[in-house]
Amino acid sequence: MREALASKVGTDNFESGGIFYGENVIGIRGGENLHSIGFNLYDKVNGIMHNHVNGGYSIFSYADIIAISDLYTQNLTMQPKGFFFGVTTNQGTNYMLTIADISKFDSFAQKTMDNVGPGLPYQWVYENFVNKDNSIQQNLQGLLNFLSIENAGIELLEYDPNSGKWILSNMLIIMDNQLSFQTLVIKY
Amino acid sequence: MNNFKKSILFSIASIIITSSVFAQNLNKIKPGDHVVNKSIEQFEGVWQSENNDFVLELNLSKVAIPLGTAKIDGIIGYHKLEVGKKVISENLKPADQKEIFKKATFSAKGIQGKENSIDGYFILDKNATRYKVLGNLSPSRNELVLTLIPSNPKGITINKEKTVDVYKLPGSITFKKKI
Repeated sequence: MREALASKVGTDNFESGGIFYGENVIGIRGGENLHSIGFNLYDKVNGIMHNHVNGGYSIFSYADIIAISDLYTQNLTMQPKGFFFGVTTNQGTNYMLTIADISKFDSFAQKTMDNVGPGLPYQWVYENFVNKDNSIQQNLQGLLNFLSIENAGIELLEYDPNSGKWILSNMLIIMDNQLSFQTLVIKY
Repeated sequence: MNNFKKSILFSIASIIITSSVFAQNLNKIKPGDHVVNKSIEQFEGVWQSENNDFVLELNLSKVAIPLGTAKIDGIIGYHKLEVGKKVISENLKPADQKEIFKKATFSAKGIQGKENSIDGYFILDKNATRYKVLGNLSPSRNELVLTLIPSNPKGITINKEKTVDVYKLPGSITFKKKI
């Protein structure tokens, strides 16, 4: 699935994806030049994968963060602990969100959906962490910082093409904190 | 002044400078921080745009937006749109504080280095076209020019109703301070 979605990111002008119902995968696609996919769901799903084509984010958008929260709060995730939400992008990145701590994620998802007003007051807050002008590394670190400050209970995995495995990205938070701490020590 | 006092003063100055730097960079925000922005207070109040086509009123307030245990100062707002003396879209500020974000139709942040500007989002209705907005205050601060560019959310949306516009707004709207 990841390979199939990755093969389209440089040529298609619409997003594609797949909804995983047990062993079945149902294909989804968005409108041309919209950088979004909208669909209706009535049954619980195991996970969702999608792509971001040329001009899209190098990592998850805020609408993606709302989507995973929306799925959970609407009780549309088959097993929250094993649920996955992935993206492969035109920048060559591949990320997956999983729910690591259900209690923390429950609070985060509820808060997210409680505050999703029509004017999206959290959209620009998120864009301070993740946006289209950032480098791949800045967006990766930005998303990790956002999830950390929100105590979201989400783990971010990154696909490693060398090993063919999805590896945890959260280690970067620790590295960043150590770096900040060292900087403060030098200043003081 | 002895060296000990100099050292203490230097440390306090360092802490203030460091906090200020952090306040400018949300990506460095830490639990418990409050990113303060006093300059956006000049956008607070009721703004009205009246022309031959419509009367649009924006009620903007500064709020501290929670992010985990941290807070970030921003602007949220509500609106009333009249066309032909008939209200066709209205979203009033809710009495319940828990609903101020859920009900907001306008949200914006200050722009670093441009204290007379804000940028954010505005929408007339939950299923309408969403606009990315840039707001610029006149030097007298009695006039607000809002530039609007259609910008619907990018990403996965689930069980969302089709976009239906109650009214198509122009690309630029000039408001006068009402209250």
